[in-house]
Amino acid sequence: MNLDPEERWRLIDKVARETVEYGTERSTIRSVLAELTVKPLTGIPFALAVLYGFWGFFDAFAGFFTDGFFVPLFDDHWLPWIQEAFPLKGSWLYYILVGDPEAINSFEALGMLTSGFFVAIGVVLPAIVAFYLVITILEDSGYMPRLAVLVDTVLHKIGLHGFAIVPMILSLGCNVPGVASTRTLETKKQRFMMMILLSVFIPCGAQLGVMLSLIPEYFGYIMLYLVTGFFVFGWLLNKLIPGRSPEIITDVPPLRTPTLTNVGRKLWVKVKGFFTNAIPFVLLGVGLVNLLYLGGVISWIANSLEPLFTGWFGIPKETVAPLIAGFLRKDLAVAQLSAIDMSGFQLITSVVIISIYFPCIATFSMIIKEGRKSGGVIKVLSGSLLTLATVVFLWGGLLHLIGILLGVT
Amino acid sequence: MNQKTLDTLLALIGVGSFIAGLLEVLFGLVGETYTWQILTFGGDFTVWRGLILVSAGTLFFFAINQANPIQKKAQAVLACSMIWIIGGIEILSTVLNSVTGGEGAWINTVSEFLSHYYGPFTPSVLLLPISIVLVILVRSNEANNG
Repeated sequence: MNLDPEERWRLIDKVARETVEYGTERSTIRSVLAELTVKPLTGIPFALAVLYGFWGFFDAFAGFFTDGFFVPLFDDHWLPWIQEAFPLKGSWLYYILVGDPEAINSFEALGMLTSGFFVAIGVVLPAIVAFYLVITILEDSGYMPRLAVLVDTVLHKIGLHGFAIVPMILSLGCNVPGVASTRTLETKKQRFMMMILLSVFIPCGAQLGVMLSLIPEYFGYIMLYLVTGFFVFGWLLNKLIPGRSPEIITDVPPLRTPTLTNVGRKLWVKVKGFFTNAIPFVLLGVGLVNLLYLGGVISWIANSLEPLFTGWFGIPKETVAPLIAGFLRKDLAVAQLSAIDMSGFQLITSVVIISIYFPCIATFSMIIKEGRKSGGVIKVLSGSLLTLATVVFLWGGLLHLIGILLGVT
Repeated sequence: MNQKTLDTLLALIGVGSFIAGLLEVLFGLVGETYTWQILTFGGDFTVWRGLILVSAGTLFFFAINQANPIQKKAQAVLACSMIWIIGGIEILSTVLNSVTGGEGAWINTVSEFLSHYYGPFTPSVLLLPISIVLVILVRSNEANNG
């Protein structure tokens, strides 16, 4: 249909008359609340309360299921039963599947059917459910974009914008969707930076859950160090990587009450994804580490890397095994660290190194996949590996230095 | 509810939140737990909780000075919701902790279950009912004004 400009404007006027309602906007408590949550003076204290609620709920919910029900279930019933019922005691198969026949709790057994199941079902599942429940409520209430507006100024300092908070928060659940969501960022530079920063400095929900369950007293220090690393290396990457960091204009939706059906449906999809994608990795991780132990590979690597671990990072060489497990599942790696005899500061350093040394295999695969759209696989992969090696060496070594200066190593 | 009643309520809850928050920050920083009657200061994340209460108290004071009635009510509701978040989490933790049993028991006995509810309580839990009443009054006032 060819219209001259006058006809076109007449058509626009007609459409506008039929579709647009004119009137004065009336302020309500809800609309003013929506404004208050994006203004720094009122929005930041409220964000502080929301984050407290987030962690408080996470802690209470995950602790209730893990300590109250799964620990007694696995330690008092499942572990003794499978240690007795599984045949071939003393064989390599028994060691891989059941683990230590003398273990008195599921953490220390280190078998696929004991520690593997316990970590996946008893520790990580309640943490994942709690995390996704809160995230879904925040998304559906319209609070997430408000958080993006609040952090926009801070993230601009490292060449990102407020919506980078979405991959960051998603990564707190799992780095894989976090990396996938970097495609919403504007430029190749921003996508590359975000992928690296997420996979290195943002621990996933499973890892956070294990940290909160096993080492709650050190949780704050570890997170502070990781968040500082995020901004320090973000600033450096912004300076070093060529490319643009453009401004964006965004629409903030009104605040809404989340519906039970939508929250339930989203939660189910996410938890189902955990069952199908993550649990096999946890079990395989335990099995692989046991195989490497049996083959003597772990002790060989531990001996080879001993100077680096004890000298540069100040942690025991035994942490090599959890580091290898961490390539499959970092939560499992953190859980394994708790069984190693070391000082509090060494435990903090080890958990930081587990977080930053390399992304898990699922995240790494996603980086490769997304790398194709962000400057080519080779470029992204080599850039990632170079950045990762630099980060782990500098940031891990710096933490050891801080420990020496404080006299707490 | 007239303006004066609302301002008096806001001032009362504002002073309560602000002082309680300051004390929580103080006890959190020195790492002490202090209990008086049914009120306690201490536990996990005390400084964080205290900062939120101080902020909520400050928001109540802002609300008193606000001339626009909608702004005033919205600021009061925002401050109340901050108290609800920390108070609600405390109550949730208490409820969940009261359910699970100790060594060799899945569920607590009735007496053990009830013992969790005798207190003492953190300031946010004690401020919670007052803040709920305040929000109900604000909402009903808003509904009456059409």
